[in-house]
Amino acid sequence: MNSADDIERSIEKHRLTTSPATDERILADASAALAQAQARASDAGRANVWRMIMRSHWTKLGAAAAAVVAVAALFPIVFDGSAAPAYALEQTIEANRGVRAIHVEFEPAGSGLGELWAQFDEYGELLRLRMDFPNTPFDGPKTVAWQDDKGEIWFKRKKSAVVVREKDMLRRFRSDERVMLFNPRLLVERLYEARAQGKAGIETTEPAAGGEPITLTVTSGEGGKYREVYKVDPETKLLQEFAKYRLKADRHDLTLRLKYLAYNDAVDPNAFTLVIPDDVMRVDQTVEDVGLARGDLSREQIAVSVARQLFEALIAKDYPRAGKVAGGFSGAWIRQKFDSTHFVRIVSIGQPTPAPPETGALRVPCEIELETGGAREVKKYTLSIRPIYGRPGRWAISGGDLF
Amino acid sequence: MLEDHRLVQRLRRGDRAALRCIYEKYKDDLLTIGTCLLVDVAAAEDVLHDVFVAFAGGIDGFQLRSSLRGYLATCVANRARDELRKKSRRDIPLADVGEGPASTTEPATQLIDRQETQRLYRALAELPDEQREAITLHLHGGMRFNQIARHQEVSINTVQSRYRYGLEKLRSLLNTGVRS
Repeated sequence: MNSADDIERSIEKHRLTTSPATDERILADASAALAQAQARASDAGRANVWRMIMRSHWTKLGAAAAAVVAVAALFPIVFDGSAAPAYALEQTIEANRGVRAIHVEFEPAGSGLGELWAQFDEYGELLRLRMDFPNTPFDGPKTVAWQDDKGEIWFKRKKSAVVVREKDMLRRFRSDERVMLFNPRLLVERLYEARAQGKAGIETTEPAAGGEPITLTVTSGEGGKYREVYKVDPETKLLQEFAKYRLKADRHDLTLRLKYLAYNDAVDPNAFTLVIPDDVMRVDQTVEDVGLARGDLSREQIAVSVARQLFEALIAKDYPRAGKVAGGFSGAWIRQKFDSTHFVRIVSIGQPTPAPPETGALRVPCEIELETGGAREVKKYTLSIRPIYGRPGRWAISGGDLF
Repeated sequence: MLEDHRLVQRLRRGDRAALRCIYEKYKDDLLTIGTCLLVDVAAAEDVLHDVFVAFAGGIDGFQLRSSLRGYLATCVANRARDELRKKSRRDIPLADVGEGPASTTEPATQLIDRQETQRLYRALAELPDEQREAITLHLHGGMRFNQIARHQEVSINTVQSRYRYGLEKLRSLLNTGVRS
């Protein structure tokens, strides 16, 4: 050892590691301590909610009204002045702790109605998820189901389905804005944290009549660009509805509406395994070696390469190769789908552009010359190309105009 | 850093998976720090245990102001100090220095590495406590010298001197051989 650098490197290199038995003992004891802390926090939370209720403007009015009632009782006047305690967001957070399953109807603006079923563990982590999308702009109607690191995606219009595997995918959905919005627990905690950080002002409207929902209106962004409206059941304190709007030309346009149809209803376990009709081409990417290896290529370069190789294979009528590049479709299925289409040549493959970031995909515009009945035409296609789930370094078609 | 903030938020909600993530992420560094300071793997494991149990149990009032790794390293160092006060230091038993670097897979290399590890830890044990602490908190706790200075309640110059003198002494010990 000649230098201080050598010594530093040697010390850094010689890290010790714990034994599995030690890990088990420490994690068991730390988990027990965490559970006790949770129990304490829950008790304190209830007390805190009550303190907040008592401190709130509405409750002070209620208390004042109660005082008036007490005074009024001294006089022969009939005085009906009951006051309900004010709503606090913490009540919904507390109510959400008991949520283990949800059934949601969702309405992406202009795309019809979709449905979602999800099951959670006691910590709010997703266990199973199924989403029936209405007519999505890029893929048409599709159903997605995830459980045990396994996902199934059924493209209904395209009559194809893909089975994929990705470790901890459901856990990662926690940070996926699209999915996170559907989880009432995360949705409300996000609002709570935004309020705590001063990023969101909440206007609360409590119903005058019983049975009407409590409405929370949250406006954010420059010039009040975004608006979210939460409707809360006054009895259960659970969310009934969530709507998101964006300001466009002095008008707030709906971008997403969620209706929580049921909480904790039993969900058929089969709902999370898709029953796909026989005429749908099913690709199991968990077992097949599909797509192309990225190697040293950039994301854009591999996306272009996948698009180019797909069309080259279709032009050559090499359907098994086209099926492999496309993501694992059988040559027979590709033949059936494309044999009547005569791909002549690639006119251009354009610069890939990012698909919505959470998809991890790139969209590649392509111009292909076709021949139909002796006439030639140039047709534009857009392919969605992304890394294959659970197959590091391999890319394939994930959607778009052809599949 | 941001990931740690998220993990702490999840932990505050009672998420045991977040607890496991934090544990898996930092346990080896913390065990190494504890072992360097206490010169005793079993005692270091006990410190690691106590630090994690206290961290999980006190998560409600916990505020992450800087690095979680630095915070946990400081907790280990504090508890190790308490332990050192309680008992006199003893030489490190040969069998106690774990399995060497986790990345080593070849048995022969592993044996060499284990011997090297033992030699290194014996040399570390020869250093004054404060020098050993400065070195291990910087290299295994990822703490900057100003953070260590706050922890040791001395100036940053003193910490840098302790670090430098400690490395110099280690170099000398490892070049000349350490008493077994």
